Amino acid sequence: MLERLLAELDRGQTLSVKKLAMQLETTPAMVEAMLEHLERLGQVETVEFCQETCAECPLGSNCAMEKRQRLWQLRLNR
Amino acid sequence: MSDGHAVNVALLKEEQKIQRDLPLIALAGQPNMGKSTLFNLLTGLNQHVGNWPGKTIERREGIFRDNGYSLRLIDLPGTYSLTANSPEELIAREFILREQPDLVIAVVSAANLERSLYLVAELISLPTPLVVALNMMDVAELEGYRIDVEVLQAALGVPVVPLVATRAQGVRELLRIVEQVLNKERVLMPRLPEIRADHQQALREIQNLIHGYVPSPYPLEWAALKLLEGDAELTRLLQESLPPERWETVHKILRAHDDALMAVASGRYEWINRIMRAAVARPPMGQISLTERIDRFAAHPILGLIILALVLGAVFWVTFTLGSPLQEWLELQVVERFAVFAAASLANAPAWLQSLVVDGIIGGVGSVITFLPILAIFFAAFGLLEDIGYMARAAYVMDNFMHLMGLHGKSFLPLFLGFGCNVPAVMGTRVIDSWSARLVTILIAPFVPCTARMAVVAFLAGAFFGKYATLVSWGLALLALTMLVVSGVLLNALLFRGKRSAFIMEMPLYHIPNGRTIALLVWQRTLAFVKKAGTVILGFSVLVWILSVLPGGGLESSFLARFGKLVEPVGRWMGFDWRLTVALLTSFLAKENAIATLGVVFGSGEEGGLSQVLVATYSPAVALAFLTATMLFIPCAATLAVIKQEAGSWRWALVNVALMLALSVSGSSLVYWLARGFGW
Repeated sequence: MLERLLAELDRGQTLSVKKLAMQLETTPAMVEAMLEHLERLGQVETVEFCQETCAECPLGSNCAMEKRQRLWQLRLNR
Repeated sequence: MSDGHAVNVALLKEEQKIQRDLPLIALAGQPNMGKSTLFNLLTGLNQHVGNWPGKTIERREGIFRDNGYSLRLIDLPGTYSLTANSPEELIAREFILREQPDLVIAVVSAANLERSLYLVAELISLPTPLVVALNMMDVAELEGYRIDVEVLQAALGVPVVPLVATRAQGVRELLRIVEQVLNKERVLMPRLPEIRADHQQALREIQNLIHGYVPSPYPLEWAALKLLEGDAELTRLLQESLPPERWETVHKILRAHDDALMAVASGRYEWINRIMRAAVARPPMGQISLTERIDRFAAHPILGLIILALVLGAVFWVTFTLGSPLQEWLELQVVERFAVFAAASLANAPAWLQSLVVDGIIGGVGSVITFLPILAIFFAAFGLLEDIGYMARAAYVMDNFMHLMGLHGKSFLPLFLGFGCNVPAVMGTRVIDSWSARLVTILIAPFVPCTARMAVVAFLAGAFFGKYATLVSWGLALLALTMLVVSGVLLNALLFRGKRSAFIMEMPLYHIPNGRTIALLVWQRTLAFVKKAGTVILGFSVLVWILSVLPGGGLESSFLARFGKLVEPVGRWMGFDWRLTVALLTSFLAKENAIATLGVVFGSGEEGGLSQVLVATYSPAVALAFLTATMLFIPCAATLAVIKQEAGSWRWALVNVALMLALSVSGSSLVYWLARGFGW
């Protein structure tokens, strides 16, 4: 299942957790669990959006990304 | 005294010996599953906190006593697996394998079983008896999950006890089951995860090769599996204990099965998936299914784009239906009357002062202030879309669309911010790792129509196109986004040839918007706009006014007119006179300045307000060309400064200016001549 998830990610597309869950015939929670597992293995990484960028941003206090959802990205040099 | 002390020491030693002889229970679990809550509940004050030998990780040990029945409990560090990826994982597995507790209680969350069961998949493969404490049953019920404990138990082959540790519910039953297992009154038949057939053969070969060399107390099967998984600690130990030629054979097998790490973990997830399907029923109706139903359309690659375009159109429709009448009212009843009042009040003042206040300040800042209802509606509309969870879908379908065009997956994030303001959009490109992809995103970010740009469009479209204003604004916004994609594709072809990486988003559930959150957002952003009007736009309006009255002799001979006439030939391609050309150029400092300049040049005290004066002066073809030029014009000074900062040189800032200027001039010229062709 983890291998099938990696194969889906290798296509280089943008996917939602839900879409991945449908493709793998499982639940979004399962996909998230596997993504977290892959993250621990260094295969994918969480995308950190606002760090020092937001500290410098004049709109940081009411930024659209403040309530952002979680995002992962496949590591290219894995 | 010394006799008493000796007695105490003897008693303490006796007590320690009794404690050592008690059944030893290890509590294992992932972080935040309620393991420590259960430990505290069982041990109360009978616990000792220290550190694991040689580590700074907390070790908690305690005694459970009830009616003469006692247990010794160890709270193991929270771990996700038993692979030696972290000190916590090493401690937990070394304790279970070396200390050999009589039983392990795996504390899992009923509300998060998919995550929790991975550790169970590892624990169940060890020889130590296992009981699963299914904690947080209350949370799972609240979320609508129905867990068939009997089925779960049968699927795992070990006892499962439902629990709400925070309310001490199910703890008696857990202790009863623990006692049964310890007394061997319950037979455990663990059902283990399987690995792929090709790796099973390799596993058997490794087992044969390492048999007799596995350091105590590691079980043979477990050690072979961990070798196949690439466990660094086990690899080191077996490399030391195996004769070199035997290790070389093992190493060859491992090299030939270097994908086994994924295959073993994959087998465990297949096992979890099967168990979940058998034992857990998800909520069939309600919020989750509603979100799924909406997403069938909203997150669809094609329908989603159509819905996004319709949503954008709806935002413009609301803006014109509610905002334009308010804007007109402000223009006629507040700004114009205030200009008349100011002119009357300053009737005896010097003519330049009257002109400065009426034409410069009220004409410039007053015209921009009339944007307020339009901007407030934009802020509220986008705040609402963010709050209900739609913006994540908008970003998702846009991103899919951009991928089709060859753009990078991460680019949508900063572009998404551009609807508010292009400055954070450019700064937000720092999230992109690849330099070329980041550069492309920096260069196309200013194409996203920011609220200031859209407010200028809304002001003029409302005045010129009446009931078609929604359609015109919507078309202009789509034009800007199309130009963004086209520019992105072209720049990508030139600059970005790297491999695209997959990108996975978590879609939030749709939910009822929070009025207070949206109101706060509208208030903060409106306040920021008012501050801008009172500083940058005020200062610029005064400067434009000075240029429009000096050196004296009327507007047509002013410095502003002289400068305007100098650049007018280019403006003529787009149907602009010198006034519109200057208004467009002044929008470089801040987009709203286009209206402020027109306000100063035409005067807001005119009857009917600025919008009516403009309608009487220019044809719809000119207006449409001006709107196109505004939508595609070079970024404001603040955005340009940030482009220079983020791209590292003025070269790229100038590339962006050249690109947008070329598209703006050519696009609006085309629009002007086409519109004239239609007789507008």
